[in-house]
Amino acid sequence: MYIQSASCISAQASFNKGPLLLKAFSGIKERLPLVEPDYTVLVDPKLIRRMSRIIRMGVATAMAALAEASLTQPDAILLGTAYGCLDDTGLFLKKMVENQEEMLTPTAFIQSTHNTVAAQIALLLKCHAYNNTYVQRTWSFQSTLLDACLLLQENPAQRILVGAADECTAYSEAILRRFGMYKAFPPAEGAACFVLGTEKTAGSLAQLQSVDWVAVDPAAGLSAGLASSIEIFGEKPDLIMSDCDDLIVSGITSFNYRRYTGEYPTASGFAVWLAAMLLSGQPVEIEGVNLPRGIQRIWIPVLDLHTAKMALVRLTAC
Amino acid sequence: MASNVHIAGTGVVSAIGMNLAENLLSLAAGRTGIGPIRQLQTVHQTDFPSGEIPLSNAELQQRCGWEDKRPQSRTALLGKLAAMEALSTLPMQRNGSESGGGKPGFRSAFISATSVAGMDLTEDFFPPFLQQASAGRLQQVVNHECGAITHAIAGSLGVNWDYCTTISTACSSAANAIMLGARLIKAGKMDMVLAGGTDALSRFTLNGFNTLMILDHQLCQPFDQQRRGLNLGEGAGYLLLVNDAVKERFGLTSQVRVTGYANANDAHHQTASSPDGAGSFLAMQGALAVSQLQPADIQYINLHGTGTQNNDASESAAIRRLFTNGLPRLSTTKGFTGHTLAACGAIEAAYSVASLERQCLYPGLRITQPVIEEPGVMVNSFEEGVALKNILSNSFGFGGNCSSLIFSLS
Repeated sequence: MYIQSASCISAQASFNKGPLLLKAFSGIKERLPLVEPDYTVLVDPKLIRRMSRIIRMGVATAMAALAEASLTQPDAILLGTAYGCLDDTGLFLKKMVENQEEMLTPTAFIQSTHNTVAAQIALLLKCHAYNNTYVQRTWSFQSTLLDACLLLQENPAQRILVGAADECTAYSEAILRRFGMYKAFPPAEGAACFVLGTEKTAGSLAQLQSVDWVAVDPAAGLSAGLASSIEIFGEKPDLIMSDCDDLIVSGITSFNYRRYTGEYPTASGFAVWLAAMLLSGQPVEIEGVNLPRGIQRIWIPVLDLHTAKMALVRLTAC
Repeated sequence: MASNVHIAGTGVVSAIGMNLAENLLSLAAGRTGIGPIRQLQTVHQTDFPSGEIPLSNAELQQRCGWEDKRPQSRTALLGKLAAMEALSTLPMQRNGSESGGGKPGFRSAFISATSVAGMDLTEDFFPPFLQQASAGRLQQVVNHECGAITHAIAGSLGVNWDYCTTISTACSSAANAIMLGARLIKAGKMDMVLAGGTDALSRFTLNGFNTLMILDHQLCQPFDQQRRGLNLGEGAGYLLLVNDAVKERFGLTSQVRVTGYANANDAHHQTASSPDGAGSFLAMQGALAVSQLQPADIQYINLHGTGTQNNDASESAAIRRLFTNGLPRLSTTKGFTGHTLAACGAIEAAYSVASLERQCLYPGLRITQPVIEEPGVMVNSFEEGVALKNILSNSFGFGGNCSSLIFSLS
């Protein structure tokens, strides 16, 4: 399937078109500020005011991706989010505790359900199509890609909106800091949306070959897992963007994308967006990375130690 | 040629029983599980009758033999119980079973649904945490996320799953999990899929639904003209879906298949259904199209039927639009279990499978003036010896998420 358009909001200036210069965020402790666009040009300002950041980011990247693909009604809307609407969840929890379960108002509760972003996109588009929300930790976005593969296998004429979004709140930051989550990279948030289809349109950015779940021996590590995947798939990527720091796969340039996104569970959405930019020949400079020339093939593995597997997204130039 | 999607096993835990057999006995006897709240610590214990499972977390943890003795989310405990029952039909052994993932060529997936996830523990964590950011036991929030609950259940079942994921589309979540499972099998990507959902009662959801003013202070009366709202419930349900090859390999006798499914969006409002039930209509119509059946081929619908003014009006409008040449038999089992949110699609799928296998219809409760007034449509008492071939089951949720499933007897 082809990535027919892509849009991303992150701590980098990723939303605007033009040459990209990605800064590295190592050594920063504070939460990264989001580089947000002027939402009012994308969505009715009256609606924007009522939306939490995750809904704004999700809706804005969805609208931008659809506009870029000249698509008004997608045949499916799939969103991946690990934590969902944390801001509204925290707000309702706080009020519930403080008011001892009395005199509560519904707005935060209504907007706290995990499917709110995908639902808001459908509502804005008046889109009755298939609509699903995946909430599988760092694989939430990869789950939307698998569903998209199935949908396009079932009906190749479809064009599908897929996305990833997660927000960071004062509560989630405080709790995850206590878990030691932000030792390597600072807290962050972001969203990315894509239009996928089987047709190589004039604006297509890259080809998404597949998403696979591959067993990784925890003792041998991700590098060994990737080396054996190169054998299995019979191809060698020019670049690997992973969520691990010390990756060594011989002769292949690799870097940890979280250095450029900060820490949030669906940051692989950013990585797929960046891969689409690189493979479509956009001018990109990445601080601290010597990109090889003529990148044709990029792999994005996301390792999960709980299940000893990686979700591997493989992309090529169109 | 795509494989059939056979239902090789079902597991259910709800307020009317700790396994499928107990659930079916309660349904046949017309015995509701809804009553005062006793386990959940809330100021509303006596305000809102609920379909609560009458066991403490410690009792549940013991019952499902959870090896990790740390406190688990009730959502995971309920999920594990139902998942174990659904899996028990296969000769599955721990670690290295021949039907387990990757063993001789059979690929397996676990697709779970939840909306509450670990919120039952998070809401215990929050009061001290709000006082001081360094307070509160972190163990209570380690499984806050939906995906963490799925991994906890998946890891406790002793199966090496090739793929695990979680769906959260509010009250249609489990129906979407079953739909994805069926599609993975049809596409040839998986040989067996354990699909369903789990949700425990929590203060968060109870208070949330209370702010929407759609909770009934009495026992709910879904699909009655005098209905006042819904009662919440808790529970879990899973279906073990297998392809032709697995059915043959293990000599399974399952007679019921998933033949239809569809997911559509109402695109009307974040929490309310459209008056004409646009999303529900499209979901039912889409499921019929996938199963290549006509409306007249459906003998019974297990309604979403929550008991709110809005749902029951919208759902019946959609059914009337689709079934123009006569309505199938209808009932909702939420008067027994309460509304189990992300789990209801799978619990009601298990009831629908049992109806087909046993050729019987389970009733709705407490209907005095039915919303659908034509005689002989609503099922008001347990009926046996009914010729049933195809059953449609509806699940609709916040965010306009509407899904319908069709189950057929071979």
